[in-house]
Amino acid sequence: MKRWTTKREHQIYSSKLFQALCRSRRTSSSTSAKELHQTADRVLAITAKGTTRWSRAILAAPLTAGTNMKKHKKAKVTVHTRLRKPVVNREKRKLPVVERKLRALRRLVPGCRKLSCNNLLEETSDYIAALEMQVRALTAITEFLSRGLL
Amino acid sequence: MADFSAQSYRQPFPFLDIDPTMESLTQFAELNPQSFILDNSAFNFQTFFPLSINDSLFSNQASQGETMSGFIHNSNQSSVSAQPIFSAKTEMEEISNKRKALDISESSSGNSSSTSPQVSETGIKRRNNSGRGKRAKSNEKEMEKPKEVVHVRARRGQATDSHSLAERVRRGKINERLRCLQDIVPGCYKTMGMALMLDEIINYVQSLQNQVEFLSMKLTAASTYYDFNSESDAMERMLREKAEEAKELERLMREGYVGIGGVACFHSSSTYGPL
Repeated sequence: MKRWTTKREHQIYSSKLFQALCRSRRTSSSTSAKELHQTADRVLAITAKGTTRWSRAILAAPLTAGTNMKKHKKAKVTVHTRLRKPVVNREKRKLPVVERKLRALRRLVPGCRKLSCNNLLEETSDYIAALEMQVRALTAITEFLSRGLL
Repeated sequence: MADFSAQSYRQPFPFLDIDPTMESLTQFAELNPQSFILDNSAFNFQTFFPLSINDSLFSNQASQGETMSGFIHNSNQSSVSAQPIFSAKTEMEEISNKRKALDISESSSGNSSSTSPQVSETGIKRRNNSGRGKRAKSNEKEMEKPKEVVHVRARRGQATDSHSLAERVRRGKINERLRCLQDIVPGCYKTMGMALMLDEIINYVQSLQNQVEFLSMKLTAASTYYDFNSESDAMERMLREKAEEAKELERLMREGYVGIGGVACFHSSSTYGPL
């Protein structure tokens, strides 16, 4: 987590991103925001040097389109449960609250769908630090490009 | 030479402060005065030593042979033919003595679990740290000395079976990671429970991902006007300068996140020219 905060890493990432941007610009004339997003994520994963799960997941499956997400078909049967006594309901629903949140977190962090709580939290902290660096780098490049025109 | 011999003499025998070995060693020194001088490295000294001892001491005196072979065994891990008859104290001996003392006290208290060293050590740490438990003082004395396999003792009012101990360890690890996350994610109080913390974490990750998406759109818009073929080294310099500016911007964004929402604040605080 500490490696994402150094200036050196930031420079490395920014320069690699810029080079990737140039390359993609040269190959294809039309660049969508999604492509750029994917490129940025991939360069971020490369900068992670394969030590984390999310970076490996990003690099392993980059060619899928964004709409490939499986929608979980766990329909909640709310009508029937309301016929029962509410106390029992609340008790049963309170227990997996943390589990539900962990599930949501698993969906957010790439490549962590079946990770235990412990490892998931570790991956999350690294992922958050990496995302912050990505935001910083993207702002820097955007500003550079817009300032360079004036 | 004399200094070197004294030094190398000291090296393989760290426990020389104990009396029975001293006598035998001085006698041995008299027997083989040349052995120290001939060697040039500690390793050679150690390998040379057992051979000479095996020849000389076993032929001379049995009791001293015992002490010698004993501590050769302790100092030389590899090629020693001497048998561990030795009973004088070494470092390992001290530890095993402490372990025995611990065992006795443990068995007297009726502890049943003897888990892996990892569990035991974390158990010790936790007991040393937290103030709960009425036997904390007596526990600490025993826990501090040994650094190897130690038996875990449950505190007063807590279950002693291996399941609860393992669960406690697991919970400790999760809490540690949560604390790390608390430092990273803004807007987390120390008093927050797991559910609230996870809420904050999820919100933060979502907002960061939205930020990245928004920025990538902005970047594609900005890059359409840029001529990528005319690339120069000025880019590196500019990026470095922008890095500092961007860091300040990021700090503003973080503060803005706590109040409103990252994207909104970013929007309002941006000072870009027209794209």
